[in-house]
Amino acid sequence: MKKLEVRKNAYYDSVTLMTISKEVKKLDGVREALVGMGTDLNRDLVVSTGLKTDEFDAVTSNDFFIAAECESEEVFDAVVKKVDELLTKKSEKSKSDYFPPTLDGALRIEPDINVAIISVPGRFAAGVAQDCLNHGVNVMLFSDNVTLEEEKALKEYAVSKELLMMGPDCGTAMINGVPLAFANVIRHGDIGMVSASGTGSQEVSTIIDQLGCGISQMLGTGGRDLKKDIGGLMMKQCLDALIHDDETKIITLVSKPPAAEVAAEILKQAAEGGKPTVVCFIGGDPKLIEQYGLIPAVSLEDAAHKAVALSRGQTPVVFDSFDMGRENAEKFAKQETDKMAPGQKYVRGLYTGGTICDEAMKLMIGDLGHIYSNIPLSPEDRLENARKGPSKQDTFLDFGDDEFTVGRPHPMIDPSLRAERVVDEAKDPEVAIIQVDCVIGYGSHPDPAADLSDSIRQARELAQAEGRYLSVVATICGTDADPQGKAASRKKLEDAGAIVLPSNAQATRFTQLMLKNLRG
Amino acid sequence: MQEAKGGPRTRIADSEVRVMQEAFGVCETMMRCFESGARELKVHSVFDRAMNFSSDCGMITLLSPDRCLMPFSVLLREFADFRALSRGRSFRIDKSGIAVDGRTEIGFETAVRTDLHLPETAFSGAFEKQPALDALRSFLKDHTDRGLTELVFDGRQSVYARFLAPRLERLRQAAKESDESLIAAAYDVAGCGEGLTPSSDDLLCGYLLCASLARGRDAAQKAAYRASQRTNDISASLLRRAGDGLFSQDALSLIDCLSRGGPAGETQAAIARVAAFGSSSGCDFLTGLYFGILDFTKGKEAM
Repeated sequence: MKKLEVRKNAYYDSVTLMTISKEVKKLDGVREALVGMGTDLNRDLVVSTGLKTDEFDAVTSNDFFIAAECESEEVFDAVVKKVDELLTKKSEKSKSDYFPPTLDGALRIEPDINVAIISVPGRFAAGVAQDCLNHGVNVMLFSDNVTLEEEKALKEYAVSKELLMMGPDCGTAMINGVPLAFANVIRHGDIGMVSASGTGSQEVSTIIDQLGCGISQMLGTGGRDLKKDIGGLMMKQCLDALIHDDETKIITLVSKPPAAEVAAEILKQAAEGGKPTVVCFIGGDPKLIEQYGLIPAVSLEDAAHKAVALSRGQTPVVFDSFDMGRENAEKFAKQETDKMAPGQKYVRGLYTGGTICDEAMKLMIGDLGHIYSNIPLSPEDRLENARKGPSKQDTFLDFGDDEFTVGRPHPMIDPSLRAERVVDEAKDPEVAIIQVDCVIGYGSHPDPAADLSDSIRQARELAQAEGRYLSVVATICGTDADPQGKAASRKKLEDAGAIVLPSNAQATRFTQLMLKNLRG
Repeated sequence: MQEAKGGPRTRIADSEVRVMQEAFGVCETMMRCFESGARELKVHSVFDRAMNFSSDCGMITLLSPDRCLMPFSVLLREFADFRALSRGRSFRIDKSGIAVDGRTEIGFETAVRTDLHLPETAFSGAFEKQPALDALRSFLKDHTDRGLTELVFDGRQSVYARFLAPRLERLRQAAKESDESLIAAAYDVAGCGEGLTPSSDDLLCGYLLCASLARGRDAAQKAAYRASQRTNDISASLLRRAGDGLFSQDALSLIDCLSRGGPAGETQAAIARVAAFGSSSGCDFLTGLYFGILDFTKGKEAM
């Protein structure tokens, strides 16, 4: 049955119209639907797609219409209800939001504001951050596309005023127990963290929580802070804050390996600070750290274990095994690889978190030699056209990298591209293992495990239909107290057939065991 | 976490809270219309981040500070609550600002006046055609799910792309023939697609931009004005402004970058900024620009 709904002289912004169009087409019982403004050609299109009704002649170019072919009146009633719901939802949402028009305005309402999270287009970001610093407000700059020169100037100014300038591209922090942006629900404790990476902080803090300890403060610096150009200005400022924070007894530093001269300055400052400090320069040289009397970590998970040991007054030891024990892990890995078909030999890592993708590659590169990626460890291993092109041999992709996020939300918010890729990779007969992360917590997708488990199920069925066995290894970065819940997320992934390991490092080691079986 | 409180978002013409603000930027061509005196404005349509007035010099748009300046628009310095306005409400605009009941709501005194005319020398001199096409194509390849972008790659997935593909072919063929053919073919393309501004109108804006440089303003203007008769008020206004050679600041920055063969990073950023406009409008404009560059420009071919 063909039906028409018209809103005379009604103008809705394009984003709303597109959302309505997509949602209406998804409703059960809707066979075809066109949504748009009643212009001549759109009207012609309604006619040519067979959706025209008698009332359609009265539609004008300034009217918004929904023409649909539905199975019944009830279905069309549901369409109209859905449209109203989407339009109302949008207006209610707008009405309840509080948008202080300016920083001055916000400070007039709340004079005690002392931290601002800034998320604006990159070209405005430095100006907004400077404005906040001018008002004595600490900054967490979520935005990217700020130049190095701007970053340096902002950080120098912040240091001169003893303020924090976390970022640009700082996605995670927790100050006085309040999680900011992408963060998890973590116990309060005595371990203070400074990190130059978002999911690196999340991985360490969630494992600390899992082990029963907690965080005093978790500060971010932005990924470029430890480059020579910036000189670690904010890492030093944050480190100083933790050294002088009474609640912080143990300090953990997380970043990619810094420029040598910057590393030396930071390690010296940490050593002189007098608090036990664990340093995880992911993939970096532990000897340099030991020279300063600090404790190096071999992985993000190891950093968490060592910080927890120190917090409990124990001697930290390297953790590079499995919660289930190495022997069990080896047996389990063999069970998996025994089911695989000849020719299955490669791993595809599909990550929404950049730092944990990088960590997995660094833990594995010694065994594999080459890992192709959009964030390669060596320039020669760069995978060109990673978004649209095929993977190659052992490939790890960071879906949060620019190539995948232009015009799209970050994959931790919208993991759909990654989900599609999981299914695509299963079509390659040489693929044996797909390794994935699932980052939960504030700011992330409301249920990333559901989306991921659907694609895992499809991928495994696809392989099975072609006589292959696909092993999917997953890790969840999050806690049980997170809105999505770690246990609930784990159940969804396991129900879909994934093997869920307690950390990214363990997931990677498990994949290594399987690859060893496959390649001898 | 502290609960958000209801606060004073700047409201325009609200009886309780009246916060006058200075505009950040204004369209120079629009300002010239007020040299002969004030004009009456009526609220035409309101959105979250923009609103339109109708006036005898065409549609005039108020934009939130996160948007780029558009033809005949006023870029605000602070976010405003446009939803407080009812349709048909009267305002007055002159060179000093926008007023209601004799009180200025938005002042223009310190606003930056920007000429949004397309330079007639665009796509000449150092312009290299192939790199420009490559840059656009490379970006659009990752956005084939938006509007009519798939037409660049001969895609016909959406019902709109299937419907418009033969008409676009005719437009491109007509462009090689005469001004009259171009005008007629543009009319046949206008007003088709999802969105407030139907995708084909945005595509036409990009295509006619190049036509105006190659064939002169007159033909492009006639084509745009004729096409504007076939679409809704808001889209018609954009088409007519494009016919007059007026484009958004982001579009002009992109044209400038392509014209002088700017560095790849700058080009991609400029393309991405244009693409960010609307839901698919930006990508549709880029699609039109791509075909326009292909059909109308000469430029140095890549070595």
